[in-house]
Amino acid sequence: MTSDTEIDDLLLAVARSDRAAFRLLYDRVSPKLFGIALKICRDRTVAEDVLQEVFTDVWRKARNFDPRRGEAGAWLAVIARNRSVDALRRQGRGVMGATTGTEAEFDTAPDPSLSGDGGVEYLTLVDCLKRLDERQRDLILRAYYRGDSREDLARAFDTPVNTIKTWLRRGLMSLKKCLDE
Amino acid sequence: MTGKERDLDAAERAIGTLPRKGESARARREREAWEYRLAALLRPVEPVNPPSGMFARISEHLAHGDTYMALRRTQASARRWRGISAIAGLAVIGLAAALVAPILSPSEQAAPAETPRYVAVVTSAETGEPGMVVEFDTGTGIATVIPVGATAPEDHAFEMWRVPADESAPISLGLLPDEPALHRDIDAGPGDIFAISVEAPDGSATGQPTDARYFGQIVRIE
Repeated sequence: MTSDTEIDDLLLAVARSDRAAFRLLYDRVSPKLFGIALKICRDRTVAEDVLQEVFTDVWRKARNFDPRRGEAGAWLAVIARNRSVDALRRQGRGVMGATTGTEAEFDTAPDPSLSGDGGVEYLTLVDCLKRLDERQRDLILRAYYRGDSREDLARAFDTPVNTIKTWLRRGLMSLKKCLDE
Repeated sequence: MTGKERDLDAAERAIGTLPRKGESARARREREAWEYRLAALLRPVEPVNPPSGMFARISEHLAHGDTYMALRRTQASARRWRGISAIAGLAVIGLAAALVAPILSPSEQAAPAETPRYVAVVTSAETGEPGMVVEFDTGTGIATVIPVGATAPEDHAFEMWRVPADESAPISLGLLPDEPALHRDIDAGPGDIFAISVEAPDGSATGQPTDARYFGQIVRIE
């Protein structure tokens, strides 16, 4: 992907309704965002709809981006992830089936084209996730990649919802502690 | 609620196990902090090229949405919305070509083949009748406004508006001119829509459209 600062600058220009910047931003980041949508939705048609929703959000909400809080690439990726999960939920999650291995979802090699310290951030996050109790990690990743609700997780793990809530929150607490170290 | 509980709620909203709807501005910032934290999980995802027509589809969707928003802003009725929908798309481009060609001189029509041309055909939301055509020369940045046959009600005037694609407030372009074609420096682009409203003879007193009746979005013609 293009350098992080270039994406930041393009997104800030889009926030000023700069259409040329919108086109450039699309050219630079749409493959990555489409990749995210495809990975989560596992259906090309749905992923195309998601990409349209993502760029509609980008055009209309770019002014919400604050470069002091994080990189534009992350801001964009989060929109793609959230829109993809919303699409899965609208579809009743039928596309992905019930047996997606979440371990494989995150334990892949970092993107070699990453610039800056993005790769380090990823490796740190994976390292912290690996330190979690396996069940807690699985819950967090299923929610993140598949949009599973507490109720979905309770069914998948054949465990009461309150127990799922406890496991989830313990996992998230440990994750933050590890990331803050 | 303790700070830790608040933070865990934010984390759960970020991964989606608690709903995001209805969160306060502070809760949103807390959730976003988690989203940034977890976004690294998306880093290794392999890029995949979207289909080639995707950007055009997105642009069209945005223009369509903005037209709808503008109609809502001016409290246009559902009947008017159906009217504008009916003339959307290729029909607009054909109409633009038919309306513009006889008015512009040959030199004005002779744009280089590689220069994109943009045009907005502003039509009655009720009848589909054209009210004006705005053509943009992206080389010079000058727009040509061509009134085409619409007549303002007695003791009223037509006022032209640009509704920016970012959904900000409509911007007055002045009263619809009497002359056959008016060359103006208008800052506009794809996604914007143009409108004509019925106003008092001196124009809108509020700075916003009083009774918007004609709408048209900018489309690209090759």
